[in-house]
Amino acid sequence: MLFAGVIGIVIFAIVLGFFLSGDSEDYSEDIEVASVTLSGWPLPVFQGSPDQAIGARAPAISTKTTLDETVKLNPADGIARVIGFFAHWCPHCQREIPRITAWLDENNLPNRVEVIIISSAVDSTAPNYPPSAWLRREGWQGPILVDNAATDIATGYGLSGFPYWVVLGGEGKVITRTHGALSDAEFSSLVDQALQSLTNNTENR
Amino acid sequence: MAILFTVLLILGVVGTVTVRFAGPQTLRNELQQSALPLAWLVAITATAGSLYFSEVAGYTPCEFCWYQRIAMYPLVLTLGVAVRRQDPTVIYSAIPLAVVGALIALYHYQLQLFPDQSSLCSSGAPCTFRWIETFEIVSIPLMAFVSFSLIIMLLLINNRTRPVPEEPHR
Repeated sequence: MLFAGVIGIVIFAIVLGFFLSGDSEDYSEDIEVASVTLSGWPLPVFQGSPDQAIGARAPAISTKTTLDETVKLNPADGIARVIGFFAHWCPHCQREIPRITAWLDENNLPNRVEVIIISSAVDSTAPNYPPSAWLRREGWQGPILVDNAATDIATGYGLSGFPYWVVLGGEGKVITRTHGALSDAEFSSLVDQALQSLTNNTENR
Repeated sequence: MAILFTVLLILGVVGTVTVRFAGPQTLRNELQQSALPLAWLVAITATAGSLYFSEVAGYTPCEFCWYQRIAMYPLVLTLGVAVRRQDPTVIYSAIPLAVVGALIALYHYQLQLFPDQSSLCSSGAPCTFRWIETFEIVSIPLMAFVSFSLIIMLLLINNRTRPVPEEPHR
């Protein structure tokens, strides 16, 4: 009798649950993912020090921003870049972005050094979606490049976890890579290494 | 659906504890008689729920989710066979499995509560990820922990699973 009653309650609850489960809000993904093209050899997966990718030339990227603007990123164009890969659902990324935007507000980037954000591993069923809204809400002013659904850019740059940073010199070669949450000092160090690579290139000419 | 699974679990735990320790004798007897089928029902519901979240809702199971599934899914078969055969020895295999599952679920839940144990999110399905958050504290690992605990509780109070001690030969 008791068991039958419990069975009845469970079945009723499950049926009720299916009827009450509405469709999740349908977000357009047109500006959260895009078709991407990489040119060149992919970097090996980052597995800490010693990093096999140091000195390797990073692949060129063709993608879009969240504003649907086409971007062709040629790493060897003489501009040093600090490229950050972020996932909207990652709690460490969510804590990292406000620190980065605050650092950029308080410090001027050196000439010919860029900081770029790439939104990857987008999941419309995951929290903090869409990433474009999250990044804007946290005060990110610059362009937000988007990866495709298969995370080809992240894979091509050797991502093994979020958040992930790749520093490229002006000739498009990897200066350093790191992943995990960074302190302000550690992020400053990445920018300094990018600037140092430009100085070294100038001295070597 | 997450809210309904949560409410069912809460009702199950509260109902079991209330009847076992404060209910009338007739209801307590009926609970003891029905405890093994009820434990089987909890295992079925937990298994169905986990499959709903991954195959219908689209949530990706992480590493610890799979360990909990490894502990829960066999209970559907073992408890089902035990119900059919009225097997008193199922307690020796089901409870250790449920205890292991409960411990893994508890560890997984504290990973979600304190994600700073690591500074990195894996590129696949991180175990710190809270796919659902019912009433702001109930996540999938917590529901799994309560399910395993409920199964253990029901198996312990089921007098039909306790082996009858043999009478000494004279």
